Amino acid sequence: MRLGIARGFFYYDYMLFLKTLFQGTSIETVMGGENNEEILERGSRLTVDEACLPIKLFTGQLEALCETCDRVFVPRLMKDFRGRWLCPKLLGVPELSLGVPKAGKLLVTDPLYFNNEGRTRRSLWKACRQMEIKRGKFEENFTRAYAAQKKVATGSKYAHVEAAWEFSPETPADGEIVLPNTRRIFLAGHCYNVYDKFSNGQIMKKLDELGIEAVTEREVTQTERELAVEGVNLIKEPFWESFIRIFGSALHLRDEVDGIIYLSSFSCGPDAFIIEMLKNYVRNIPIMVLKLDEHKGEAGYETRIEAFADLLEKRKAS
Amino acid sequence: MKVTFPHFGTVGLVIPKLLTALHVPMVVPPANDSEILKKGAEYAPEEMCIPFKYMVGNFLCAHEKGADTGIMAATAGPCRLGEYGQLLTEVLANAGCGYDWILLDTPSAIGAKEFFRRLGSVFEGKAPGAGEILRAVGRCLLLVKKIDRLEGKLLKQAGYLKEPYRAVKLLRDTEEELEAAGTFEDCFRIIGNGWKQMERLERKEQADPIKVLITGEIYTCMEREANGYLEEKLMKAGCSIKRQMTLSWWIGNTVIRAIVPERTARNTGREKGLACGVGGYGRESVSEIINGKGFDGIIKIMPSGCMPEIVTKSFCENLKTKDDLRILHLIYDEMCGQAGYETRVEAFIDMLERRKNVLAGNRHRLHKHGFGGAQ
Repeated sequence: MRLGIARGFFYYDYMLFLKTLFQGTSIETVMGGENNEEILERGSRLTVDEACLPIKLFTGQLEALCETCDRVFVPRLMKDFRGRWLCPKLLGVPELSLGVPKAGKLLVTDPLYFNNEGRTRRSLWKACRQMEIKRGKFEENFTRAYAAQKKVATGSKYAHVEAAWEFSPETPADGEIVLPNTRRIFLAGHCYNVYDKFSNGQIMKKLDELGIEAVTEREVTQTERELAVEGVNLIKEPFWESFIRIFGSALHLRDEVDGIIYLSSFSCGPDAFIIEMLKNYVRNIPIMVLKLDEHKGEAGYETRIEAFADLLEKRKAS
Repeated sequence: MKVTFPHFGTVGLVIPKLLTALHVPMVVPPANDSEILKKGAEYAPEEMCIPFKYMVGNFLCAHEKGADTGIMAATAGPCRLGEYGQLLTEVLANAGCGYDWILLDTPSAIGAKEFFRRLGSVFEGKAPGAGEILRAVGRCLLLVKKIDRLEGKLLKQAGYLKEPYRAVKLLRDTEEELEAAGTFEDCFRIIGNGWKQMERLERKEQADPIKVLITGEIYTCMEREANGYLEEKLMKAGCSIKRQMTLSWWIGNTVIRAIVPERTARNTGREKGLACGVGGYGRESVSEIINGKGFDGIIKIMPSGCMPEIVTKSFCENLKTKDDLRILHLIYDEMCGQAGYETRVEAFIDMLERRKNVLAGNRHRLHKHGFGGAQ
């Protein structure tokens, strides 16, 4: 049986988990391809107008996978390992993709609360049972997958699929000297924006051409992030997983980098809050917010990145 | 210490009475209008939802009047309401007004003891006796219930009246009187008068108005300024309305959520629609749409960018084709232009009327009333 896994949202963080879960079973997992114009066009046709860019891409991926696979796996993630919530739109991803024509093929799991191992196990077993996986094999795989994912969540192991992330700089011609990157920036944002070449318009490559090295939140472990957030004494314990991830990393890195570029999808709910907090708490380095939407006009985008690079240059010189 | 609170439907009528009865010094922020929204939008982050912008406006105005402590209801996720308190602190500090906060998180998240400690901090150690507090809170709840009952009845009755605008007028007058009233006794008397006046309104014979359910995001449902007086428009057009989100509904829901765990609540026999809560009251509004029988149309409203309601919108679009429901989605933002909304609402009402009274899809009505429907 071919089981499709869309390239979006949980793909970047829970890939290791899903791969381990289906290892050695009769199921052949099929990963969604790289996002492209066609996927986006499909997605925006199938979901509501108000949905954000990653939702549209995800829905497009689902439709494309439905054509080639027997079932398509859609985990409904609610909370992460520390019991923090994901964005409400992610909780409702199955509802947002109801417009997919072959929606019957979607295998939507029960809500997964990753902080509760027993409940996660039950919910996943309910889904896996429909795919004729043996109970013993499932239990064995789940235990391994859960342990591996825990390492990812604490930051001691990478989950990201390298292909989604790496770009290959052109090999220098004979005699050409490649200078090392002189400046570092923190590329902030949700993982599905930062690691997706299509939605962020190959920003890593563009930055590299400008002599800027980008670090992402995966350079910081979860404990470091949490300590950094605790250090600023918020009046309320934050409850979003993405808030700790982005805000905590930014606080931790603020003295080590020259600037922050924030990749935010248009009308993203948590971002409206996180960006405001970043502006208030990270005051020593410049921050630029790049809004990502379906209009993929490159010119304005490049100009802004170049202007930001010039700004970093000037700050360094002064 | 001077306490203030954001406007939220009938909260602005009820809380001042409660705080006065408990001798807590307070400032009532001026009622919401476009000026308040403008003021709030100036300081609030651009992509935050409308309720937040109104609230920033409320607190800015209250600060000018001398308030220094804000009471805010909050949740522990996943919707943005939970972070309002934090963000308000930041935004108001940038605007130059410092506030102390009493954040009323759900007791299940912070523990009942902490919840009551926070509540108790309004008294600054000079708390009145437990009996007095209980009495005041009890009467406050009673008042909420009474206001919502009268309002609900008027919304429902408007369509059956000869001159529906009288219901609108009565509602407005009652609310104005309630705002001016000082004590709970006055309020109860005013509401009693309201019932008497309502009974005196002249009714249409054999009326069969179209019935509309208003649901969606709770703030825009309850705060009339935020939804451009949608209810009054519908009442004047001769519709009979039910609004799901009221203050008493909210209190009841919060209490039930706090006491009954989710797993038990699942067995109440009402179909939920959504498999899990998606934040805000998305699940409740979907459940109301699925279970609300006898409505000709449903108007679902939300502020622009509301995350839970985007999910439910997608769900309802699917429901629309499956169950043959007529749902109008209205999205409100800080552009207060009303013409577009009016056109859409009018067209929607016309469509409902036509479906109800003219189209042969409803044979039973045709037999009963002939073409043209009940007069």
